[in-house]
Amino acid sequence: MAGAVELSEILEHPEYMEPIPYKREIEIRGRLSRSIVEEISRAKKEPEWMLRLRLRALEAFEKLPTPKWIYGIESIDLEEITTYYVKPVEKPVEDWDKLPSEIRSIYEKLGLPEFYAKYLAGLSTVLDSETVYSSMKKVLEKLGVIMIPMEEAVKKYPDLVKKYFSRIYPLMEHKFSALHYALWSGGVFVYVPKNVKVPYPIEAFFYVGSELEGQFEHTLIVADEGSELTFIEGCSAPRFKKYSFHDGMVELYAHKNSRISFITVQNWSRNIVNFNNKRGITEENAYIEWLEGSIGSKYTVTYPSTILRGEGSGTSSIVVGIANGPYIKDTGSKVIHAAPNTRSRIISKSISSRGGVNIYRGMVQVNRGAKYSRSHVQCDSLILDEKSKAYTYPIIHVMDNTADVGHEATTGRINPEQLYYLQTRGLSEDQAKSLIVLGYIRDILRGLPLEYVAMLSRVIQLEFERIGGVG
Amino acid sequence: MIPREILEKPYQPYGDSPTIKSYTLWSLYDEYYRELARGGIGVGGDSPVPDGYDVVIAGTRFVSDKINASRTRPLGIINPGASKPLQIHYHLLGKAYRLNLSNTNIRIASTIPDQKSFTPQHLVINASGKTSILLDVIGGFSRSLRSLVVEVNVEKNSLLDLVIINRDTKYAPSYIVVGVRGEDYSTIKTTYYTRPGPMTRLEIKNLLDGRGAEAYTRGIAVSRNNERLDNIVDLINRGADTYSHHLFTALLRESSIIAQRGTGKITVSAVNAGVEYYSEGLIQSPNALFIGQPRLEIDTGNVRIAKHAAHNTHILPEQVFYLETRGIDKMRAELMITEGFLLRRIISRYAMEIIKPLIVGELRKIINP
Repeated sequence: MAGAVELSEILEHPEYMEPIPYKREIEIRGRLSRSIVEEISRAKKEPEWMLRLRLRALEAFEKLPTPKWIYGIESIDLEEITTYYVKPVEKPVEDWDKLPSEIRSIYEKLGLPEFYAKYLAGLSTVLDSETVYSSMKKVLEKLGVIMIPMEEAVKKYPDLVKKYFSRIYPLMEHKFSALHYALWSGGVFVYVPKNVKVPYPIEAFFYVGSELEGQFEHTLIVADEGSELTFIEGCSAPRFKKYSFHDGMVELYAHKNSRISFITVQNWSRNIVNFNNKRGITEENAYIEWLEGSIGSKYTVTYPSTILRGEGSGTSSIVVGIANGPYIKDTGSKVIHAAPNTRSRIISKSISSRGGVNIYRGMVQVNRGAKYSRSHVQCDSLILDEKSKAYTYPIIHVMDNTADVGHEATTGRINPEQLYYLQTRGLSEDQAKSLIVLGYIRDILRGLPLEYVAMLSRVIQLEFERIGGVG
Repeated sequence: MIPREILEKPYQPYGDSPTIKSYTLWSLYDEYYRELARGGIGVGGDSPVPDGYDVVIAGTRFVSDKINASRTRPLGIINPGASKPLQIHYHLLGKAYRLNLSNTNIRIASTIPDQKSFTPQHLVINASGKTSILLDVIGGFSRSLRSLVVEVNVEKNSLLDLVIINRDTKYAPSYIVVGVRGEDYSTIKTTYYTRPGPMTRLEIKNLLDGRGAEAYTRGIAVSRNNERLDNIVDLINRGADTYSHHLFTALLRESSIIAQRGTGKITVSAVNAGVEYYSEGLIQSPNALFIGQPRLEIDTGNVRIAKHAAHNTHILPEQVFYLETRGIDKMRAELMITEGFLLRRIISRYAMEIIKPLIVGELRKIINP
């Protein structure tokens, strides 16, 4: 583990790592076209149905308009992306030592082998477009849990994959979802059998290794009746001269009485354009919890959404967006109440500083017949200086008169009285500001495993100590 | 008559979500515009002059034996290119009428011709001192599409108490835009009550340009049957130390639809400004729909307060039970709760005096239709 660095150091300085060159088995470059899509499918030795889906998606991508309402969309030129598929190794390994040394060093620098050994039940790492490492502890195998790279699942469990793949997040939803389905590569498939409660989190770590590259990983999680799972998604990238594009997708299906907690800790370097498509469906009395910490990236667009299809099901979505510098965080959450007695809670916390822009977009829809559904949306923005901005765009759409739906939002600055109080207790102004910011986003920290809380607290603390003089 | 490029434009160049588009009946406006383009209907025309008003805008005619109005250009508070109906309004508008009001109380009515037509009406008001204005927008049996724009400038240190009553009927859609600009240390109280028609779009825009200006907007809507209201209220704080507050409460019955939306904005120049935006719908039918979209756009960290909330609600059984234990029957209890919901926090006594009887009358109709 020569030159190993704590994960927190990487997260606190995403520009810390320079890109590490490594040998690629396959690299597909050029302008996006039908032949590129066919080449990707061929390289993956996919079944015919998947190629057809990809081509259908490509057609949709070409037809669908670019959504004009996205702030700063004009600055993204998809034509610039030239690398669509990179295969770093022949096939994923279960042993770190079997990885080529230059690739292993990336993960050792991130401290992932150590983290897996101590805290996780399973780990899958995606480097550029492909899964390079996938391992699950023996105890889960005995319980019948499936955790394999998505490509492998397509071949090994075609019926199971077909049942859910693209059924939760339709490819026609918007231009970027169509693009994702045309080019998807990498990601994890997780299936938790009936009544199995996975005791430790499973993690997938996504790493973009080169500039002007597109990463389109697909994660599909199915929790069968009465099961429980916590899944952590970590994202990072080294410093590039030009930007790279991430258009990932997460599909969750929570069967009756099951529970899925999906945690994202996103700290891409500041030249990643990050589109993230996330959607879950809940059956009767199931629960999906989204926890999204969006710290890095140049530009992030993500709205975790849930369709509450089963009676008594619920969802919560806690989104924290930090725009520290001239970056844009366009985050939020969507919930559709499609069954009676469903409940949802959305909490969005954003912090803008040094010219950062935070945008909240959310939608709560209660369908006709979703009797006695309840929803509460709380959306708080903290602006630390005069150059930064915060926008809130909620939509409430209620079609049932027994539903109880509310939205509240506040935007403010750090209260000088709080600052003064902490300073009288011996804290410097910077320390006091960091402490207030940490208190402000405590909701996201509350849901994380203890080790992540310690690490993230430190990252956020350092992030704000660096801008301590502002506000 | 109307250039093809305007006719082919979308209703909103930006901002309208697909949800709003699917529930607003733009086709009703289009019907008029198409007929206008074909020459099937005319612009303006004469309409009745009701008693009891100081000024009547009867069709496109200005009628008043008390106040002289000068013909003028629009003031520029409303952006003529903001929407397709506004573009058509400005294209077909002859001249606007200008009123200079100072320390006065004035009652203005707007009526439109009975025959099918397009009626652009444009009023520019300059208010100084303490001024109260009642703007009564009367629908009657008219089948004319009303396009009413009112622009008000409130001078430095002045107080404006503006009450808007919109009584649309089932015979025609309407498009009403009211823009108020506040100069330094002015106070604007706008209270509006609306009974929408088959499609009513009511836009209120408060521009707080002056330092220390304040605006309080209170909106009330009662909708029944298939009535549709698209109510947009924008609160734009551009001056330092400005404050704006908006509260909207609506009662929805039968298959009516109300969309209440708008933006509370604090620009970079509005140092230490505040904005609060609240919107609530009381739904009393399984087929009614309330869409709340209050937005906040804060461009500076030097903000005093910025809050918004939207809530849809229904009469809670606990509330009714409490009143029943006090000897009030269920029907009366529900009416009391509804009345309280609609009339709460009206800060203008002048507005309360005008609006309360209208609400009470409306609620009586619900008991004895």
